Amino acid sequence: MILQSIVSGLAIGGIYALLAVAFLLTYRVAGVLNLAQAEFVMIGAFVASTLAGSAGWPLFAAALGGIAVAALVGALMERITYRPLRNGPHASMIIATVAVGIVLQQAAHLIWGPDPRSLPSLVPNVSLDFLGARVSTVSLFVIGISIVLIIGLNLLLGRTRLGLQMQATSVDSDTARLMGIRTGGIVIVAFMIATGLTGAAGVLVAPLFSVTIHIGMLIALKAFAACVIGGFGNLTGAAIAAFGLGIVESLAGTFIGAENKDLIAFALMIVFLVVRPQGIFGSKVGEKL
Amino acid sequence: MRGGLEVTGIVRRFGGVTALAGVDLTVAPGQVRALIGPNGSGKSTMINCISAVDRWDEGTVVLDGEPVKPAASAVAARRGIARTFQTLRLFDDMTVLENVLVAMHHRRGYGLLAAISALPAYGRAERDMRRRAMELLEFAGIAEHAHRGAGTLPYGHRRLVEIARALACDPSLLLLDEPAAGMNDSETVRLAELVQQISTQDLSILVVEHNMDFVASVAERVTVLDNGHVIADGTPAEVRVHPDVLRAYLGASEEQR
Amino acid sequence: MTSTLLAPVPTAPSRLSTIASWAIWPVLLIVAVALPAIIPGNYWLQVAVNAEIMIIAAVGLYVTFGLNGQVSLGQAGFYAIGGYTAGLLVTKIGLDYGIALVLAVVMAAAIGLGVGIPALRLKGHYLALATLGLGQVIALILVNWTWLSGGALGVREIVAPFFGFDIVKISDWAILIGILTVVSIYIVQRIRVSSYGRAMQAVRDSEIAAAAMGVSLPKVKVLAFVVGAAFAGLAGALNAGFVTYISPGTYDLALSVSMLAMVVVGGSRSPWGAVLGAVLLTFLPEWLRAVQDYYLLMYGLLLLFMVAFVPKGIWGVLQGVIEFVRDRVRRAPASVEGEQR
Repeated sequence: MILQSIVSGLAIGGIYALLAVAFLLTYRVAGVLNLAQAEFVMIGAFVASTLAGSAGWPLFAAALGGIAVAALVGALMERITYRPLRNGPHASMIIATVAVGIVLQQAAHLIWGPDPRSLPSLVPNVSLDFLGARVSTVSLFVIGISIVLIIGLNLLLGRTRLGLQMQATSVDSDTARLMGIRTGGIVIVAFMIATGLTGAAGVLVAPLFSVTIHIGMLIALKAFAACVIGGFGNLTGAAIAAFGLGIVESLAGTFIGAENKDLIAFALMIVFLVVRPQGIFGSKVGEKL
Repeated sequence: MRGGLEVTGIVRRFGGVTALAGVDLTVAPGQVRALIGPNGSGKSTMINCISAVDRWDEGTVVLDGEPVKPAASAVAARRGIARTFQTLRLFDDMTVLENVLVAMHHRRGYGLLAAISALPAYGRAERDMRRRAMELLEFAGIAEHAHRGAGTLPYGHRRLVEIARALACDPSLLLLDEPAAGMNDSETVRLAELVQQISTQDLSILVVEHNMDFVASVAERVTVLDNGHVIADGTPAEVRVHPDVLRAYLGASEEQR
Repeated sequence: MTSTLLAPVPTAPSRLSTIASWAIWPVLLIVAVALPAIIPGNYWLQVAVNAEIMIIAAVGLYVTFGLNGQVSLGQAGFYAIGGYTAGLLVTKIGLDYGIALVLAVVMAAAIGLGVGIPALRLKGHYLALATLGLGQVIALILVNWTWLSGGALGVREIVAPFFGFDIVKISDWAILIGILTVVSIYIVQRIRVSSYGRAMQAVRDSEIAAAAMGVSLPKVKVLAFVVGAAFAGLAGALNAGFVTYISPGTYDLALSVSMLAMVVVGGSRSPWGAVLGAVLLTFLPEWLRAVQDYYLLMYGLLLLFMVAFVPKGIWGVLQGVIEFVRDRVRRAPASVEGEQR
């Protein structure tokens, strides 16, 4: 029972982790809190669902298609919100990302209509027997992919030239520019990676819920909470907090009842903001991403 | 006379760097003292400590016999320590007059309820504050710009707004952090005259400046900092020829080669 | 130091402007009370009353965000607290609606205080996130804690006399809410021109300088936050009495966003901007009924456009035009009374 709960908690935690990491990446490199993140979940899911369904693409290709479109829209968003507003007051940027979210959501509504769509899972849903608990392959797949993607991102940031340039930009973009780093390009790449990851989360989560324009909302909000709980200093910290949140929620749902489970994320977020705003792992800004 | 400042043994470290390594500084009530030194000597850090914008690791700051609490600039301001900023921090989206009025907020003399109900006491207090603020703007020579947005003024005028705003705190100690920075010669002369006029009031002044002519024309005594230490203290004339001072400035310029 | 290089100085307002600045209030009161007579038909009167309720919430948010620069994405939460406090007091205890209204405002202000004090350490982004989370928590509590709130079904039949008077007809509500709306704008304008308003703006423009000039950052920020919460609570309570039915679904993130949008689009530099924004964003969906499906999309695009290209909002544009005209009719040199519109 507990094991089952933990596994499904890790699965949804994996989704939260992808979103948390994406959110934090944009924030650290570009200084933008992307409050339109939920809509990129939606884009990934909707585009993949259309490619797989109406266009008849193989699932894997449809998934990649969804991710690619999410990344492209992310680049577009960078042009429309970050570029013109980066030197203005915080409030403008926050409102702009919210506005983008509304536009994306409504555009999707107009393009795809109100009916929920479906997206089958990339792996067949088989119930495995694992240490006495029934565990679904879909959950394991989600957990696996999210861990792989996050580790991949960490490798990118730590081992590649691009990644190091991103780290430099996130620490001090003015100095980075003076050192010859094309920070403008770095920011676009950061946006695209972040929204691509979010799109991937959309593809992963779509089989678990029904694909409506609201699919990303609650998940994205909880990912924000995970960032606060883990701390804005470190992607790994945020990911760990996100996985943890998924487990806590799942256990609470199993043992205390499902009604209040959603509250946990936000209650924890508020508690941390009040008591320890730097999160569990601390926001040592200036250290590694 | 008020404005007696006694700073004893101030130490301020930032990580591995010691910005101030045990600095003593005194300003007698009513005096004008200048604080000079090469770049990075700790002058601005000193001002930040004295104005309690920053905290310090060791030492004391005492104004007119009462200690100043670190990192509590609002409290220090209410006690009578007012300052301008090296990097100019005006309230750009407010008018010049409003900028000055903000410094009178803690002595506004009315509560929120009185303001909302427009009681006569509120009207009187506002009129008095505005009159006083206009006097200060006239004193600084910028009264004609009272209703202009502070962000729209030319640089030299903005510096004057900051000074008028600081004076509106009714300070016993006025801290000027590089007030002449970026000013041309005629503006600097005019500024020196202004500071001289201010010094005739019941307050003391501590000026951080690079411009030695300016310092010579306003300051009675000069303290010289280098690398967080006081290396000289005397009249402008004495300090100008002090060997340690010359070495510090020359040394700094030698490193630049 | 001459000013020949600078544009003509904005001077003290003319005699006309000074008279207008106090005459506007009785005029607005008359208009508000006469609204039922002016507006044809109950439907549009209802829309107008909804706009007035939104005006109350928006001018409150103007204080928090416009004057003090704090981005709150959780105003719907305080709106909900106001609505539910009034609604529950009326239906569960049978309290007079007028008293319930007062208590609702007090409750919203109290929670605003409880939130505002810890929120002091949060800046910009973190505050936005915190208020976002707060809004979510409140919405979730209202849905899930059925024993308190009646759950997803909400609260019905919020009907009670207002300090003894029965307020039944829409026109009666219009008069009551209209008066309260004008009073709200008045209060906010008075805050704005007082030293409190200046202190709030100073904190917005430069916290460091404001503190160095003696302004108590905690007091000012908490005050601005509480004022915003109180007005949102008042609006929510009025909404509960007017519509007589409330449910958790109303108080979502979209509502918080639209309240912020009202201030931004209307103009965050003046309470009149908030008024304009509230009216516009309440009537717009009605006028655009024909293209209903596209309304939200256009709303999002409008918001994006305004934030990027018209940061001072519609009111800012209007003010620019007025100043341009006024510069053509220049008068006496600067005097002591420079009042803002």
